[in-house]
Amino acid sequence: MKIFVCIKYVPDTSEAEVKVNPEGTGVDTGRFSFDINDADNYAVEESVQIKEKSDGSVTVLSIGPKESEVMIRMAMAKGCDNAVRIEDERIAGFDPLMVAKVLAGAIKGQEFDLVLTGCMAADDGHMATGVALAEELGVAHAAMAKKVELADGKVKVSRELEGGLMEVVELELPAVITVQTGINEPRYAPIRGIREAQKKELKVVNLDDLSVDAGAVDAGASKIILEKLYIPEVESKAEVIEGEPEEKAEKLASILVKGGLV
Amino acid sequence: MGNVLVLAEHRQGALRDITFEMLAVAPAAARDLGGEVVVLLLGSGVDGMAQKIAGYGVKVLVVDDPLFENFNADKYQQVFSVVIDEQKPALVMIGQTAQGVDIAPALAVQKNLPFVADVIGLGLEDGTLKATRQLYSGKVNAVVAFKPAGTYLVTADLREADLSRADLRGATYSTLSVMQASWHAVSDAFCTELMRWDASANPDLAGFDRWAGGSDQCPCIKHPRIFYFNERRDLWQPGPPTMTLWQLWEALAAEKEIKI
Repeated sequence: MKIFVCIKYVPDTSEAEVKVNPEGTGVDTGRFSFDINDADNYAVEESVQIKEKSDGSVTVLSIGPKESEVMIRMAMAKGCDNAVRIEDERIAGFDPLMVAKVLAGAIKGQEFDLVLTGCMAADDGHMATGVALAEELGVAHAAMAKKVELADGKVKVSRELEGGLMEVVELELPAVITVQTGINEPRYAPIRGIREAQKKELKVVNLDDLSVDAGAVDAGASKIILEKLYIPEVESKAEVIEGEPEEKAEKLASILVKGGLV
Repeated sequence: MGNVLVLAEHRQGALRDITFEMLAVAPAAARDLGGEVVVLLLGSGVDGMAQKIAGYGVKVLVVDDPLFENFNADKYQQVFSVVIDEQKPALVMIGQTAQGVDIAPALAVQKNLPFVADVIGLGLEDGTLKATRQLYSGKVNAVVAFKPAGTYLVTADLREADLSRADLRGATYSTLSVMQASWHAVSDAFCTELMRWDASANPDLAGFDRWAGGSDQCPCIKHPRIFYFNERRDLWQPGPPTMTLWQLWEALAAEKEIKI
């Protein structure tokens, strides 16, 4: 079983205020610590668990700066076998379709059975890269997996739908699966694993190395333009309805009607 | 420019909220893009849902086939591919839901469409379609402009959007827009026919008489159209409807000069 797991290096903004630069072109991430995207962490664990059951190998694939190698090494410490880090400023990273093309460029031409990744990145939240990657690779996909079971050359995926419902789909291999947080319990990297991870292969490549045409994945190729970022206004207002019960009911009904809620 | 194609999402025999949320913003987008709203409904035995959607005054493309008894991303994508080729919509709108995220990115790659995910607002500015979306779990908003193309694709998450001001860049969206665009300012004869149609679906036919006489509320009080009917209750004339639902829709289209 040859598995690729795609992971992203993201700032941890969960407990902090985010500031946009004065030009509105980017977020000031200097104050944040970076780590593996939460859902990708579960994808790493799922990949390693599948490898442990079926033998094979797991290759980490990530687009990111040199600093992200700490995250990649940690994934290898948990059981991934090798890694490819893609670094190229020409990639239009704001467009998930461009990112998917780059990842596909790194996978195409190699044998693989599964590609796992998190269903959503904590920073841009597109929930699109994994499914777009499947289409680029021309293989089956399932998004938002809560359970992955392999048997007889197929993979059965339980997807969590809104309202707690589960949907089970069966895919032919090879396939791309995006996983949700909670699908497993990510392990801590053992000390021995951390030591061994330093010796594992971590290739650093750019678009030229991957034979990916930069003109097909740069901002010029993207069909969208990230025009502006801004902090949304926080609105919190409460209107107290005064009066007798009948008056209150009438006012409330009027508000609901005006708001198109009934 | 052209129509806005909206994917109707349903589960276990009922339309999901996202469908109505998209129907609330789609008319404004369609007006901006010089087209109309067309809803794509895929399923098996979905006639009732199709009629419900049509009741919002939009055209419904229905693929009713046992193949679509259960959601299947590949099959949905195949249908979308054909519909996009044939209808050439200006904008395709799919919910940012478990179903939507399983279809839209692959469709964008397959059809080479400009795609923005998780959109909370949409508007045309100086001829350019722009989408507003959230980053960092809603702590930052991004305005994303589409480069010119024949068809644009978005997945929409309107749960937390203020639908009355969903376009953060100035255009006006309203949850009432569907009803306003469709059912107000119609002729008296059409309004009467519409009342009869609603009455025919209600077992309390006499209730309409009481309502018209001012002695009771309308039996269809929960139906959004009633807010317009209340202003025109003098037009009520008892009797069966003379048109089918489709004829009704055609008549509405004719009155409002919408090309079907």
